[in-house]
Amino acid sequence: MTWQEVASLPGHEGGTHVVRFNKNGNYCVSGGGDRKVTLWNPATGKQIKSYAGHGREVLDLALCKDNRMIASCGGDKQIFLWDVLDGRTLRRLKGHENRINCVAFNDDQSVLVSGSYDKTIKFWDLKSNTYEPIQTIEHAVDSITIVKVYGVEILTASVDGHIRLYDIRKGELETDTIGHPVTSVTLSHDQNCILSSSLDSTVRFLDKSDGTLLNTYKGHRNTTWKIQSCFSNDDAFVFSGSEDRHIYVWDLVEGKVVDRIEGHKDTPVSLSYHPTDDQLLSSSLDGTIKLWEKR
Amino acid sequence: MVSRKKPREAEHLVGTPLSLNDLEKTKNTPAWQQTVTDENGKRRFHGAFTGGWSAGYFNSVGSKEGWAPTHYKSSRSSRAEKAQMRPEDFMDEEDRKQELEDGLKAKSEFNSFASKDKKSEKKEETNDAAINFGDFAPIRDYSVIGVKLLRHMGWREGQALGAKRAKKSGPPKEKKVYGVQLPEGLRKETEDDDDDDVPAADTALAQELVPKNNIHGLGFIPTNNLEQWSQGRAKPNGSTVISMSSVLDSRSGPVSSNLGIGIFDDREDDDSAYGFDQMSNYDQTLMSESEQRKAMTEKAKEVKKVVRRAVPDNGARCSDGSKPLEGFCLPLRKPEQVVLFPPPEIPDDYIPMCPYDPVQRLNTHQPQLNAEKRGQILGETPLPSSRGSIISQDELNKISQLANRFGPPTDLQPAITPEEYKKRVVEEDRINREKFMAMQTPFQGLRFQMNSRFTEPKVEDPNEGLRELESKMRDQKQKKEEIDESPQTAAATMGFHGKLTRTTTDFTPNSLLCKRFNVKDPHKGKNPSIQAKPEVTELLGGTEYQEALESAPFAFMESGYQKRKEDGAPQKTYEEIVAEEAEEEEEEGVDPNSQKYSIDLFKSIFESEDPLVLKEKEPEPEPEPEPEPEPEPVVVEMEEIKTEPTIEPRSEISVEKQLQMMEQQLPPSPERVVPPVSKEVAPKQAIGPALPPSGVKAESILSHLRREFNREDEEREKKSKKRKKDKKDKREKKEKKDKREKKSKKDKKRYRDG
Repeated sequence: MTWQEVASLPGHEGGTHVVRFNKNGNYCVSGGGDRKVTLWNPATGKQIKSYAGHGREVLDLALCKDNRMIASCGGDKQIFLWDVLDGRTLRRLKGHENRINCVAFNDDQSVLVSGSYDKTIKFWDLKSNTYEPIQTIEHAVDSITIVKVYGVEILTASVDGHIRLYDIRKGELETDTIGHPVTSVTLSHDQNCILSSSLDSTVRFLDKSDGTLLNTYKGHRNTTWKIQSCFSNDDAFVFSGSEDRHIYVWDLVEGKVVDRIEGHKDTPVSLSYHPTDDQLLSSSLDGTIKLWEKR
Repeated sequence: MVSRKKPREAEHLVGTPLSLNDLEKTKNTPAWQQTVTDENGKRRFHGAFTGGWSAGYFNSVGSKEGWAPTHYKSSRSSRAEKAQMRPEDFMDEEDRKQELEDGLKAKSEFNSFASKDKKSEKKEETNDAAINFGDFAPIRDYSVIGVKLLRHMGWREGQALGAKRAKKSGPPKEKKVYGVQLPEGLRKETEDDDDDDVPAADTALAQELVPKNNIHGLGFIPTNNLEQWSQGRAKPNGSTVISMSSVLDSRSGPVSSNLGIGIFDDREDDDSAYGFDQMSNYDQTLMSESEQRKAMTEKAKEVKKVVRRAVPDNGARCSDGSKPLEGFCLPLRKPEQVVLFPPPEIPDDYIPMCPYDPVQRLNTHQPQLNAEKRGQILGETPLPSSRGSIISQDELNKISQLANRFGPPTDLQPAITPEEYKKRVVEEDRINREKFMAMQTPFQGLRFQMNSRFTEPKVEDPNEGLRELESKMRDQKQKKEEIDESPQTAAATMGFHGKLTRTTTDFTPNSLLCKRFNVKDPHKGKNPSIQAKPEVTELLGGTEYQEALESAPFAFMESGYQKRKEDGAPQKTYEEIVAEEAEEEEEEGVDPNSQKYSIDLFKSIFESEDPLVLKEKEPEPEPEPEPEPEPEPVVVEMEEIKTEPTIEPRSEISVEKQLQMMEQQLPPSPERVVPPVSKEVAPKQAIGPALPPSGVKAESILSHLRREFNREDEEREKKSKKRKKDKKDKREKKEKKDKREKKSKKDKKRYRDG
């Protein structure tokens, strides 16, 4: 079982920090060191549109479900909300005191969640005209690396070595301790398990309900960069970039390395799996975005 | 008539007589054409009121426009020079001519060193009076009427007041000049003594200015008095010292007036003790007045000698190369440098507490004695105890128990070791600090608000940033250590993920956040144990304040509040937003939760009934009413509703379609599907400004700071290394060059020789 390169996009100068499929997988959006957000058709390799406005590198992106808006954040401590079609800036949200590492929309795009190097998570209201955050959470004691929204649950991770799961309906915070700086967290598609990557070169597979460790995935190297990990769309495989420039693929259940995808000239930091097809998008610090397909 | 023709001899003429010409001139010309001129023929008095000040036009300034403002221009490349005014800028032409003739000089009032006038100059030359150091104050107020009068009477500066003494017999052979000595040529050789009025020398005190290098009080000389006291007499050095005998003599008056009156001073004439007597009535020194005067003049002479030695122009220059000021001379000996010692270093184990050792105290503790015991020891008969008779033993116990509850136990606690004591002190200190911090945290919001309003003055300190960084690092380190200490981390590192690594706490989402996520506020009505962050307004009693305002019976207050609300800040509070939106929804007659119910629910309720009835009964589930009601069957309408749950999917299609259209319009890109494995791609050339370094390190803030720290150090090292290397290279190059030159010279020599 191997993944082979189908297409390569030129990406961004200065490294492509993030790449995301849209909801149905027809398009993808990327952001990188050249301070731009770019919309691509990965199948044809065409660059459809580019959104320029950031003052520094773009670190994370979020696409809303109806494809109308893109939220992007980066080193300039700002969040930009772009209109996909005409490229206008709908909103520019300021409030974080340091670079913003991650953004996420909630399900109906009424709230934007952002996590920053300034140790805070902020909730921004997109419905009303306020430009102040609704709420600021300051539980973490170090940089927030990733924020994800699943319904009424908000999953975040921080360099302080904790995964925090905020349940808004219950009004509860569940903190799982990993002990090493956590770079990425994802919920499985059945939303019962958490996949976390940390700087001890380990990907952990945890039970969401009680935090028990179900499996660990090792073999790759991850000690410095913020590398993302992800599931395949059927939750059968686990993917993660490695600092040896490969993308590692593990079998979810057995925990063995299935494949080492080779092709990037620098560390692949962002991964996105196609929602329906067996395709994987990866972006690397060498700037390129590559599309891989399972053969 | 007759008298007019022949003026009486007693008549006096006052003022300048007018000539006939002048009179006629003024007669014929109207008032506005008459001008007043000064002695130079220039017009005086102009302006709206011609009696005005005579500056400006045609007078002191050479231009018709008067003082034109100078054009000030300064840019980054060419800085404007600071305008340096010269005295000539404020002078008239005539004055300037004058100045050219005899040079610019300060008036005598402002130049106390220069000779005042010819007469006084002469006098000063010959005068033997010591310098009056009061004269060194360069500018003095000479407008005082007393000074003016004195001057008229013949007094001059530097001269003492009082009765004149007869001139000393035996004129000094060598003339001593004090102040600025005139050059040889200009000096008048007046050997004869025209001075018969030598002032009293005692007022012209000679002073020597000595820098204060010691730490004594001002004017205190530690040793000289001691010596005198021990010898029982003062040295004849002119200082006023109370003589020993006068102090010790019990009969003399001043002693009592000096030392005050004791209660045992049984004197009838107490009055005389309270200041009727004067110290001057008594002889306080060992010297007579004449002796004193003599000593004074001697001292003055001494100083004069010193100054005289220094004053002649022996080429002495100040540190900046200029001549010393008139009347001043350079010091003959250098002032002592004040040695400053650094403060002592505080040892690391220093505890800011009194070094009280309870152990020692406890060990050397003496048996506590009360009155009864002491009495027993002394063998007294014990007094009848009132306490014992009134209060029973049980009650006594109760009282002691109560006392124990409020105060420290009366029994002494077992001795503690010094280590324990130290520990306890440190622990208490820590607890207090924590308490303090805990007290502070609720006000952090307030402090933040305040800080955002005011800025701190920025002091340019190159070490400021470093120091901040250091303190930050320290804080982070502490925090890190705290994290590392936690049992969860320990469990995680050991691999026990599960209950040990999971903690569940309360989290209070904002009410607006709950609304946006379509959930009920989980802590509404409850009192959450943990607030996400205390609101500042709550701390300040904001809600109470508002409630009080709203329920206030005063109409004007209410109206004011309402008005404030209506005017409204552009940023509304979340509560207001929530309330407003709820109101809007109510107005629209739509249940805010109606969107959540699926159409199946409606179906299950209403399907069995008649469709026509349904149409009448069913409330409009859509938030927006249809613009045109369509006369179509109800069933169809039901289907429409089914296919249109929300607005988003429809627009998604549209966005997607539009994107497709956009893509089709795009020209075919040259970089289409790149064939796989095209590894040897030349690195792209960067165009434009340099981009930030790629990649985001998931490093902690602490390690980031540490790295920054190290980087700075490394850079510094690199720089110093480079500098050293450069120097070395230069040296080597120079050596090589020298060698080459030598060689060539040798060659040449050889060539010449051979």
